[in-house]
Amino acid sequence: MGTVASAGTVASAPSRRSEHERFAAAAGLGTCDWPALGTTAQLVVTDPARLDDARSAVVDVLSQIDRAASRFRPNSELAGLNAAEGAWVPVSDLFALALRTALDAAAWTTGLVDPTIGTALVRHGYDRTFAAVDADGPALRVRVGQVPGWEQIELDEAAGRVRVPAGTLVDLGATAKGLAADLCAAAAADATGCGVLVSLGGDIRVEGVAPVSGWPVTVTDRSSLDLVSDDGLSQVVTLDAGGLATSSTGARRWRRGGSTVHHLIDPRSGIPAAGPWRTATVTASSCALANAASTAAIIAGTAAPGWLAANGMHARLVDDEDNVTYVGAWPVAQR
Amino acid sequence: MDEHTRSDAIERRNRGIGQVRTLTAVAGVGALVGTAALAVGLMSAAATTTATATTTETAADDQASTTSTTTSGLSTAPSVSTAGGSVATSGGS
Repeated sequence: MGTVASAGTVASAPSRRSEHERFAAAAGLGTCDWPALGTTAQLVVTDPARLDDARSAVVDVLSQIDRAASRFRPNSELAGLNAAEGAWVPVSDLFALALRTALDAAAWTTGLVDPTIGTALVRHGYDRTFAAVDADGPALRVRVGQVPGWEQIELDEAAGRVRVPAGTLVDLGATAKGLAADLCAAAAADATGCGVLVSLGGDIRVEGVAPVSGWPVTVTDRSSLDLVSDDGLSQVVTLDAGGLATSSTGARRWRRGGSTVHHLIDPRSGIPAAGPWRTATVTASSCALANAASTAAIIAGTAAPGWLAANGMHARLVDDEDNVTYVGAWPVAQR
Repeated sequence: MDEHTRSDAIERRNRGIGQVRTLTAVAGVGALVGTAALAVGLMSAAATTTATATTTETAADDQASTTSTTTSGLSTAPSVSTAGGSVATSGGS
């Protein structure tokens, strides 16, 4: 996409990154971003003089999360658990928290968000960091059926140990990034005493005193900061507190045998969710909760609006035909 | 978890249709939520039996949608932005 300049040449449209930086500077905010957890970490603070301190706090938490919960880091705690063949495995408090969050999300969604989808993800080709997954490839042979189920996971928090049946692979992708955003924002706010926004690939948590007009966030299909600032169906909303997360079948998708597959696995079938939603964005008191709800909404399909409303969630759902459905108190955009 | 308990847990999951939970009964998420709410179970007992692949395209829509009315009544609801820009993007990743 480009804009036509007065001289008749096509100029590149500004990226979201440059738009965010320009707006943050005008508002007196400090911002930076860097690669992390297979996506982009973005940090915004109300006191630019404390940006470095905030970033250090966030980097420290991200490093701990990566060592605990990465499915792709060979020496992570999660990798050790997945290789334990049914044996009890000692875990850190942080890993126990990440797993507890995943299990609570599974219980809350009655299994729509299930951390035992790891094998299904691997069978669909997501067996390495997403950047290393081939964009296209031959047809896959997949098994259609329920995933093992989160109830199979035994978490003994008192003893600091976990056991997973042999052959079951755990993936914490639906909740760990949201939890990480919560922990990062809290750490940065504690370290700086100022208002903080942390975004991990679009999973956002704000902490501390917000800017006077709140934290303006663009809600759209893709989180990449390298895309142009206005790339289609988007809405800018303002957050004052809590978390916001978006799940989308338009991201982390690849092709096998001529068909498109994506990373949002339906635990009931072990295959990617069928729709109708392309994107689900949810706000909640924490990013972990918002993340669980946005994933559950994609999996729930047509039942999602009712489920979200019953849980008091505020959400924006976009279907494959670009129709937008609003839930709860999400502000309705004028089209 | 012994085998009997595990079987019970799986049986409960397979009865999931129409199941109702209170968030506050789920300790961790309850702590994350901070408020009581109902979660209506959606887990189907029947596994989907047909393999499908989702094909979606992120079709551009040139209608900017940055103005709206605020209907917020709860603290965690977003409000419409009047700032004319944003500092972060939430989308799929």
